[in-house]
Amino acid sequence: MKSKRTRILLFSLLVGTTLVAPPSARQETAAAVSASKAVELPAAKKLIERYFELTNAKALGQTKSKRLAGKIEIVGMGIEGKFESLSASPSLSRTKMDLGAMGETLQGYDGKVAWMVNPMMGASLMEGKELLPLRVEGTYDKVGALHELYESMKTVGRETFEGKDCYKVETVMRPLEGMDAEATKKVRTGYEFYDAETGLMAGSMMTAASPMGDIEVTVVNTKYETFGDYLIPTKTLQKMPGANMAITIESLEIDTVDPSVFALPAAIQALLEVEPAKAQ
Amino acid sequence: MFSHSGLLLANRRGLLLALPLVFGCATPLAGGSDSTASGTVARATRIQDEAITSQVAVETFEKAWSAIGETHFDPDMNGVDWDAVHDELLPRAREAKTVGDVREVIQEMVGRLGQSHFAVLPARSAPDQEGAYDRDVDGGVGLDVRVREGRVLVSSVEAQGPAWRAGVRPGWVLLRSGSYAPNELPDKDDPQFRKRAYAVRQRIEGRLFGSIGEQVELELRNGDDETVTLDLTREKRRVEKHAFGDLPPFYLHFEAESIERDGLRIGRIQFSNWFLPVMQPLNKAVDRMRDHDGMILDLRGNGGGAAAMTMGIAGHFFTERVPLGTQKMRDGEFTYVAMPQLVNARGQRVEPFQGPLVILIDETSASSSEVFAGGMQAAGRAHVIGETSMGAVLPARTTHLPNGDAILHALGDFTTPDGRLLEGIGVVPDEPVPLTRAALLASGDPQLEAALRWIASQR
Repeated sequence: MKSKRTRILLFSLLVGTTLVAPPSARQETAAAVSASKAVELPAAKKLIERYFELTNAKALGQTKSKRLAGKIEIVGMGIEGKFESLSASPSLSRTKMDLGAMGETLQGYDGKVAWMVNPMMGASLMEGKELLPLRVEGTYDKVGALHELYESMKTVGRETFEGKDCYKVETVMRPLEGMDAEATKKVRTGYEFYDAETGLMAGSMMTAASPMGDIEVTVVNTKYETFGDYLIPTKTLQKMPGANMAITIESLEIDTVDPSVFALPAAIQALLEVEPAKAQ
Repeated sequence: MFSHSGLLLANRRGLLLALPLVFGCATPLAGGSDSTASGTVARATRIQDEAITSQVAVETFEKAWSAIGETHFDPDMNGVDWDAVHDELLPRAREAKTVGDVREVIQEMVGRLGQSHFAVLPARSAPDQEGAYDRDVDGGVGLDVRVREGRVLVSSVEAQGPAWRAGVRPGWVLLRSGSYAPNELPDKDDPQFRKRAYAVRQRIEGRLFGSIGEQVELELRNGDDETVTLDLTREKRRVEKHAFGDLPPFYLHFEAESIERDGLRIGRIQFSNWFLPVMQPLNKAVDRMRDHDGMILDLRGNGGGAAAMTMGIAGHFFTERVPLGTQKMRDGEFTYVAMPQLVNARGQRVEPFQGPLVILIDETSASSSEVFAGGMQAAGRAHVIGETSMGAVLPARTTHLPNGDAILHALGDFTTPDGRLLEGIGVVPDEPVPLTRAALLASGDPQLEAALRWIASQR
């Protein structure tokens, strides 16, 4: 922590001084130190591969399907429920979230169509930038498809994230076909934080596209646990404007999912039969 | 508030989010300090005698103070010196001897903000006393009231209900309900008229509602200006009790009807709160009314609920996504968007209703109802008739407190697409139709009549 604070101080000093005068010899030294530290940042590829190793993600991606289940809570508001997330190779996913008084929401992706059925908002297709993260998260073997899904990954710093000394990796998702790459850069860009000590991902930050606009989200992985051969973040806190959602994974099953569960709901089929709704 | 759907997928980032969150845009339990006489705290003070340690009292006060200070949408706290409020009231919290004592300190604290959607929500396990949350309020006599012209007018009477059978009709004056004889009624020129009128209505409801089978004595002045005393027996209200997070239980009422008038068929839908159990019957009602000549959404008496529902219900009237307004918070903003409802409850493709739409409001229309009415008005999709709404529109959430209570606190401000702030102002009808005794006696519901006339004029 102390050395990191020193680095931040040096960086601030350097930037501040550069704005008003040419760097002095001492500052040149500081710049050299900073550059040297920057060079020491591990490559994103190395950090991500280490994480995959630690979690056995590559082997998980080689299975046919998985079922995650657990509970969710809107923190401090007395609203709790449960979820079930089913996924299968190559790009099938279906998530059910039951929040009691707020109803049961379904969401899915079949490699082409991303959809949502929300009891308060009805059935809708997720298109354009709303589809982007679903395409990534819906890809079953993300390890194998990493380079198809992302156009770049680079380590951009080392900083404290939720009290942990972490490497910060910037990831940029590839745009969808026909998508304006520049206009969607913000929602395609995310940051992942890898614990410098353990190599585990401490969390991430992203801008999520939603029907209600682009929303800044921070995800904090607070606990990892082993299920069989796999290490997964079992306690996660998602911080969004105005509310936090705590997610606890209680079970992981491998290769038990019946493929028929991924069939599109009737409401979504009806939407596809006629002109689809246009996502903003 | 907030509403919830979105992604939930295992990935390298762990589990990705659920969007958009619903925020309880709740019924205006507190309209600033003004409501302390009638709202939650008035009920809470009757269950306040549980002992509390000074430490828990202080922790409770501090948690409430910091939760509001950290999340209030205005960093300047609506012009209130929040630190000074803390320093002033902390000693009183430290001296609190009972749960009620600390609730009163917190309520005084939030009252300083002078905004809606700040209130103490007593723990549900609190002892049941008159007016407390768990009091049996399933029974009623089937009438509603509004304060107008310096008196309490019967504004509606449920057909075939106890009051109806006893001959009570809209336009009668309620002089006394049980032991409560409303006096010092607010004048329409009072800047706080809407909140005070609402508070009077709440007090009267507190006497009208109660256990089924119990009697309530009413003193009224009928259409001939004669004073009438009636002993009415409470019957089951046409409501269903539901819970939503930490909020007090809601007694949901929903009704839908097709009105035949001058060769037209006009649908009317009325519901008391924006909560999920309303969604299914509302969807079915809209489906039945797709071929009607017009539709009326009657939001009078609707105090709010889950704001996300406004997006789904608005979607029955749009073919494209259309913004309804923006919720601005300290750490971000959401845009409420009408989500076109292109599939009906049977999974069939349908077209949203494109005919004339009226929204009825008055000062009992609050919170999510104002988000909806203001948004639909600004989008040019609805003709708003009635009287100005409550002006209590701040999206809010709850936070648990160490003593087991929760605090409701506003997170955001709401702006309509045409840039209007509604908090403290309300939705101003396109066509104001004031309730008067004469109009109520003459037509039963002059605002509904105006809605029917307007739809007929759109042919």
